[in-house]
Amino acid sequence: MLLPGLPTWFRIDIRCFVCLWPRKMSSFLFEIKLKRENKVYYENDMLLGCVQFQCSQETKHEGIMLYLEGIVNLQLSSKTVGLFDAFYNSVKPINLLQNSLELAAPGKLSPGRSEFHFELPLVCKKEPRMLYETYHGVFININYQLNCTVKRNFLGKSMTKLQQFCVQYKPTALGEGALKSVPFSLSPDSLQKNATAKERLSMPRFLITGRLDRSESCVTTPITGSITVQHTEAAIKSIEMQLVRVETCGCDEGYSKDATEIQTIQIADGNVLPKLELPIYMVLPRLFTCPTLITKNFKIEFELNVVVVFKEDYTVSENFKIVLKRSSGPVPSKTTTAGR
Amino acid sequence: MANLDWVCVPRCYEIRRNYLAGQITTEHPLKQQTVSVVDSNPLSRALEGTDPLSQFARQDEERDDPLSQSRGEFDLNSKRRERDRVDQEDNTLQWSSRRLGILNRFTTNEKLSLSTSFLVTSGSMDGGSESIKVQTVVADKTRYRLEQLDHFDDGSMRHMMDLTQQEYIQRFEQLKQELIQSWHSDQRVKALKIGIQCAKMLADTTVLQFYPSQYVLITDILDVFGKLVYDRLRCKASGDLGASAAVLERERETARDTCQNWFYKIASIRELLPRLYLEMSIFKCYEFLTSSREEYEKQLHRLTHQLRGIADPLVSSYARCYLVRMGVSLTSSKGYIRENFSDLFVIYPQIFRFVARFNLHPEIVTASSYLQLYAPAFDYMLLCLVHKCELYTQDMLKECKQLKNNGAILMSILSSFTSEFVAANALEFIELINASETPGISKSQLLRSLGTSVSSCAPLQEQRVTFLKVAFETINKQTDPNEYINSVETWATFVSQYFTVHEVNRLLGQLNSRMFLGNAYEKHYSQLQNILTRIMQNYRSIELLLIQPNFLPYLDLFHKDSVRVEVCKNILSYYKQNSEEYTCDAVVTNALMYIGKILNDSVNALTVEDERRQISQLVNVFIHKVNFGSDLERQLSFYVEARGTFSNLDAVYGTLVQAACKLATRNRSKSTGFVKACIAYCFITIPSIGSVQQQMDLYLLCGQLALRYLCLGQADACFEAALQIVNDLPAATIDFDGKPRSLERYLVSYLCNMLATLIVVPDSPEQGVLYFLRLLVDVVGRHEFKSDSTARVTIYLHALDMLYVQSLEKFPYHIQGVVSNDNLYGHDPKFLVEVNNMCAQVVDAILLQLKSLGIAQQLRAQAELSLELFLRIVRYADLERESVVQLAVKLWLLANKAQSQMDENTLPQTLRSVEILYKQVVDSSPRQAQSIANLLMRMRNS
Repeated sequence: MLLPGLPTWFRIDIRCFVCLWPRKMSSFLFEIKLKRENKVYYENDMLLGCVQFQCSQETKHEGIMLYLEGIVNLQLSSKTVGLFDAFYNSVKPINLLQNSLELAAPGKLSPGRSEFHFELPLVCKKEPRMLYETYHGVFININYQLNCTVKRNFLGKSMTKLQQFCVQYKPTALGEGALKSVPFSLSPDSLQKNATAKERLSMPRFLITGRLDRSESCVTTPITGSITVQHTEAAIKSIEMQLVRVETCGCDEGYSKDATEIQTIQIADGNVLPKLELPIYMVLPRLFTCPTLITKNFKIEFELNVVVVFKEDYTVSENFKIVLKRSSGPVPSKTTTAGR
Repeated sequence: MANLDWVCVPRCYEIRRNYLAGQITTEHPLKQQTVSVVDSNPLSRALEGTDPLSQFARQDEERDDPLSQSRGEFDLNSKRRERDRVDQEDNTLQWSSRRLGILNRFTTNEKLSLSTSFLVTSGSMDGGSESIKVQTVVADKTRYRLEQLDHFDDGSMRHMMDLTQQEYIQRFEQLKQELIQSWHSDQRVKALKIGIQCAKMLADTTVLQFYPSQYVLITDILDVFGKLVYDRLRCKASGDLGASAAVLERERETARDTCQNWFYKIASIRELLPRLYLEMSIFKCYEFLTSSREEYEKQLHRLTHQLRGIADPLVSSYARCYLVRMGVSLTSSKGYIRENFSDLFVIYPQIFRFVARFNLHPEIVTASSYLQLYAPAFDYMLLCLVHKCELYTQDMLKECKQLKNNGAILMSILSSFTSEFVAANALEFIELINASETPGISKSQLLRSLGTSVSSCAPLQEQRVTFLKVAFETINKQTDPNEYINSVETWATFVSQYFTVHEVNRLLGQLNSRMFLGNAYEKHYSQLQNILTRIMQNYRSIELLLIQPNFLPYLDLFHKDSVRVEVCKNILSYYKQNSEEYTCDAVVTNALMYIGKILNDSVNALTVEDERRQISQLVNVFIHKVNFGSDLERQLSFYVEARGTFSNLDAVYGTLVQAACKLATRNRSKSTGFVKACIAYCFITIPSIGSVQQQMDLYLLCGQLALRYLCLGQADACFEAALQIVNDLPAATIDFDGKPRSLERYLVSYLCNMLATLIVVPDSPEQGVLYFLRLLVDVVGRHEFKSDSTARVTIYLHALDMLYVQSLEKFPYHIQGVVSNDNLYGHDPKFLVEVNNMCAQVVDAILLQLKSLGIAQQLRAQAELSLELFLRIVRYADLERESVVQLAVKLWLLANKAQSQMDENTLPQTLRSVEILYKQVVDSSPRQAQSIANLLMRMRNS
């Protein structure tokens, strides 16, 4: 099964089949094609597409099935609930979508190309009666996929093809809080409430101010803001922005909450000039972020850390909770990377 | 001895000339194709750059491998076709023209280090890249790629320390190839990683003085990367030819997607500098995401602001330079460049914090060379800012004025802004320079730049004088002679171009007094030389310069002989190019004489031939240009003076003799006194010339000239002198290309020329009949030829021709006024007997020579020459004499023996010409015709 926390796109390669099945020289290829190039769908959309078969000679089969699945996989982390609990109390996955379709009854596929068109509604009928956005995290994964299986006689293994697709929310307007900027300031006094007075005294003096333009922002637009070093005694080595996901799983009895880093981006390198306003600009990585999601069984939230690293390896940071929403249209989220 | 019964027959046929068919041509048929050599001095070039070896290596580097080059060309073509929105980028903003300059300027001997995981040091591929291949097939690609981006510091990272500059450059070349290769083998993540690693190295400023070059090398790689990405997307977006609109739309959509993916990927790079550099390198790809210009500008502004996060001012400046470079190719708006400068001005004081540190530690890098590092970046950005846009020029000047330590930026402004702008604000600039007290940038540097700028475009007419006054007040304030000379150097052009000769004189005077103090000139020869060159280049009249009171004293500043000679040569060559056609001013002549004397004195036995030739040529030009008009006496006395002065230069003597000869021809008075004086001058001058050949030529020339002006005594003296030295002529001279060249042919043609002249020379009453001919034959007889040489026979044959002419009643040509032998003797029989005797002697001598040719086995030459003689006998001699006829027949037979070795046409043609002669004479002289017929009969019978 799927390893949690890993994006599983393009897991199956056609070439694997060719090498697993060298019995005959005949080729038998098939793939699931979706009508939408970017594979982004909204709830209540019709999933349109076809399965294309390509075979060089007549091929027998015991039926072709198409399954539609939408699953939330949850995992408790051993860190928060203890190893034992984590092992036994694995939370049951939540099924959002489950549907199947027989494309063809047992029979034969004629040589050449054959296509089976399908049309499936994307509707969640049971609880929670909605489709969450596709998300890939460490402990929580929300994944939608089509699975086409060609059954064969007892000698032949049945063959399977996967096709994943994304579900996104329809864009909504940002709330009131969206326009309010969030000011912050970092100084020895504002930090480390738990540090002793002595420790605080030994710290170099500094004052760093800044703001985030919005506390609530859209997943497709960069997070912006600014930061200014007003003065500092110790030289700054680097200023970084850290994007963190906070995943909470489970309900009353078993419950874990974990914050893990998604990405860190440097915004200043070296001892920058005081009083110079540095922009904060962070593009949110796709797939690893989704609109903030709070449900009965799990929560996906995001936080932002501003980390200032001084030359003597002091690190000072400030944490912000941010709310992500989807406020603008779908961004083509084809999952190929690096310009194939 | 003379057993031959030779009698010349009178010529009884008309001489006709056979003209060759002419042809009209527009080009001079003798003109050689000229090859212009640019900058032929390899030494000076080598000194400017670094050592010549590394230069070669760099040139190598310039050349890409042929494949990528041709591909580049292809790309260029396709780009040209679709260049509709990008403005025509003219050369001024082209980066490629600058990069080589930077590479050559910023070099280091220090050891460099480099960290990368992609370099293959040995021949085999390292394990890292192989594992990439394996894993990409099996494992989850996306995850793998994303992980890779953030994890460089795995085991494959290799730190290369202690690289020399050369090795360092090589490694980058390798990296570039590696990047291209991995791109084309579909490992685009690897290509991206190489790009990131390279960009990361831009943060490394350990070897400061190499940083600009490092920047060039690395941005080259980034450029390649950006281009690969862009081309790929372009190719995707344009789709297949002939595809339907819907398909095209879809293709464009995919390209957009892919493009966005690239930006997403780059946005997730952890470190600031690589992230920004990579984004800038593919900045052009924004074109696939948006078509609105505002969007570009927004992005450019954003990047500008993000660049604030880079603390090191040097790194930041160059990053901004890269941004500007990427920006100008996409948008003509300059707002973002201005924005960059605003930021730069904010971090500008930071630079001087570094400068202050380096002032204390000059062993790392001196303050001024540290500031130099910024120059390429500033220059380029400023240039882009003001290119075809004057919006911000005043603005920049104002800001610059308010800046503390504005030297560095002022320097770049001076070199990048248009000289029109500088000229318009010249006074303001002087003020700025006056006020500028920047550590590391001396005033002289600034003044120098300003000088260059105003030299190419001067301030307004009415401001010039004030400007010059103010400028020189500032310049003169420089106390250090080094600073002084450096700042004044570029002003020479300006002064000499736009001001009168008085200002130039004053400038020279100032230089004289300043540089004379404490022998400062010794260290600044090259600058002094430069100044002089610039003045001569730009001041319109070189004569006026020469007569300035401060000009010759300026020459005295050059104490080192070699430099002095160089300067003098330079002056004369400018004189050659720029002066008027003739000079008659005594002061100018004196000055040039003085300069020429210096050159003459520099020539000694050790001087190389080429140098001697150059100097002679220059002096010759000068001599030719001196012309006192109708005052011939004065001209001659000038030549006398010149002879006294240029005693070391043979070629000049030759010119002087020729000039004197020419002068003689300009004599209009009846008396021959002046001509005699000229010839006497020549006659005295010629023996001082070293080359016998030249002496002979000149003697002949003078003799001919004397003859022309009826100075018979002088002519005789010249001819005799010429003949006397014939035997001193060496057998061969050394050619220019070092091969010996035999002078035999020259001698033959010279003597033939002489013979032709001698025809009209009347016999002197003091000497016997045909004294010169006898002398000539005698000289030739004594001259040593090679045993197989035909020269002697040839000369004798021509002497025979001359003798035959003497026997004629009327010579074919005369010199007006000269009573030649035909009139002198009046065809006297005694004279004829004398001539016939000599003919017989000459023929005897020829026969002797023919024999010795036979001994030397030169059968072919022997046969040909005997035919020549045969023809002359048939034409000139009375064929009724038996001995003559016998000789003719013998010669014929001799020639026939060697028939196989001769051209097959020779014999028949000889026969034909005898027949023609027969036809010519058959009417006028039947007797002669009869004897010719007899001869032919005998020839047939024998």
